[in-house]
Amino acid sequence: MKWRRFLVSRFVRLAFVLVAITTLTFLMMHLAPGDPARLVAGMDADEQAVQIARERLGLDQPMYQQFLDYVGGLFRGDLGTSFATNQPVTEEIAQKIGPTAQLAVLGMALILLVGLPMGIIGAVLTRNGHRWFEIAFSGSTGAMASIPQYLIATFLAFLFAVTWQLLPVAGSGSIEAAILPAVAIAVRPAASIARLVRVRTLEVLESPYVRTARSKRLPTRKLYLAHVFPNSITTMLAMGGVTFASLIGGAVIVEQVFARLGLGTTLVHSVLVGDYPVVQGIVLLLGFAVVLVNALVDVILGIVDPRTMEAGR
Amino acid sequence: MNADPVSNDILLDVRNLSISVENRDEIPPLVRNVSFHLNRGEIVGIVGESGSGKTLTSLAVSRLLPQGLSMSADRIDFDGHDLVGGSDRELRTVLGTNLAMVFQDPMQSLNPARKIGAQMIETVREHRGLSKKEARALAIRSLEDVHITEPAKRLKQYPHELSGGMRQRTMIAMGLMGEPSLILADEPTTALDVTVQAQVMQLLCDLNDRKGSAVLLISHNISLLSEVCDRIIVMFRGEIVEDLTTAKLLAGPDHPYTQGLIRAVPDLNTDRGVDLVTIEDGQFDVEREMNHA
Repeated sequence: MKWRRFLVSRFVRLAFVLVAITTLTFLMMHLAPGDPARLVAGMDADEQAVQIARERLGLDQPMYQQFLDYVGGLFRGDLGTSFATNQPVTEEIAQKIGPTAQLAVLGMALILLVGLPMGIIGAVLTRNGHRWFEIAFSGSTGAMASIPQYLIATFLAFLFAVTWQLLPVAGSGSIEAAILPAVAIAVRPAASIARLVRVRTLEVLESPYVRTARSKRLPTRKLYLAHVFPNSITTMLAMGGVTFASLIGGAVIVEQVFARLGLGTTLVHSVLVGDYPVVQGIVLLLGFAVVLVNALVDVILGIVDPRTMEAGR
Repeated sequence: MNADPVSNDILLDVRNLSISVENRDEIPPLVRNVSFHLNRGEIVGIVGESGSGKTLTSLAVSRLLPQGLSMSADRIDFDGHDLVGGSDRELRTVLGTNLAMVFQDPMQSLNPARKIGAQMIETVREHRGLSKKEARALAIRSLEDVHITEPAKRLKQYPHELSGGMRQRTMIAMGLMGEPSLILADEPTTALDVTVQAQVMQLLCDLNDRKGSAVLLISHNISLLSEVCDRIIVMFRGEIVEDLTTAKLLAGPDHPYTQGLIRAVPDLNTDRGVDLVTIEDGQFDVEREMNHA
């Protein structure tokens, strides 16, 4: 019963956010300067050709009509047609989503597998009084969390691909080619997560309930896994949605640096040439992904810590 | 206080326990040369104001002192086990089962992310090797012992679904799982409202009666302790100033600090128009210097 109410409330919230994203991406593109009809017809086309292009694209219709057509298309799975290639936008996205999805999954895995253990180990070492460690930890993660992703990407490419030639410098064909970009987008969020998890874990380690658990003299492994871990990951999970969003943002830039043919590269290119439907489609898709991940995080949080279910209603 | 330490009746024997801050020699010890003992089945109270060292003493006995504090003692003997020289590994089982801890804040002392059942059964699963089923049956009996209704349902609930009084009773039930010879309760009722306080105190006395567990009760409230304890130890600024039977305490304690503590507790006859008695800082300094010159 509690679960049903929780899921319904999350679903309603999700629906609202999705409507907002759809409306905003539409408005954003239509309020942006430039005339797509001119772009489609060509820079030296005469006024009549531009007018024909405008009618063909439906841009002569009033804005609300265009919006209704757009939303109607969405329900049929139709995101429009690319001005540049004349291909359906869905087709464009399907071709480019692979490398980006690969990057996002690898990046997220890296963040969790590196950031989380680093934070927990950091907390345990801090608590055991390793002062030098605390300083080194805060310094290095602080630095890592503040370096822009394109700098990290360039640095990694220079070191591992150019100087040592261990990994491919660019491309999106092989899994090896995905390693450097994945590391490049993961460094910042992993460092932020490690910092957050460390502080949270320190709190948990000093909490009365961990003292209770210590009084039971459980093996250290059980103390950490059963009593400390579930309480320190809630912070990380709550951050998960934001982290994923920053990951997507990072992917757009990092794909450029490594010349990967993914959604990010396509997005930037489409913005530059004014290919509105493609931009709209990709932004909508990324927005949906972020919102869905956030909703998923809420559900997982509800499982791990049932109090959040009641608090967040 | 000077009972024969080899006697079988002695459950806990603490000699010259001192607790100090690690690597800070300029800070005087927080607890100084504290010696006391507890007989089997006895209910003993430790009373004192905040900072008198009563909680640290109990944490030292249970080997749960926070990081950064160190202890030294000539002897801490619990149920035939040497708590000073012994290693954590050797003492795991005895401390995990024979000693039950009940902490001050029942809202914070149970793990919020785990079900009551999981928290209750892990001690006996670990130290007694009980199966999940046996441990659950024991947990249900244990919850019944502390008068919690619908115990089977409680095992599936989370701490935030229980009231404060129920949580504290659950803490006690959790301690009972290991059939403890000593229940160490640090301000077990301070965070609860008055009617629930009385229930919890009554429960501790009942358990002492029925199961024979000794209880070491720590509180700042001397009148609360004098209602249930056989003997009361008075601590002040890290030292024991008096260790006397409750009868003697009620007849009139010797130490001026103890007299002060008794005066500081209001009762129904206390004149509302007059400020409550307080113990001023420095009031007993002369006394301390006389005793420890």
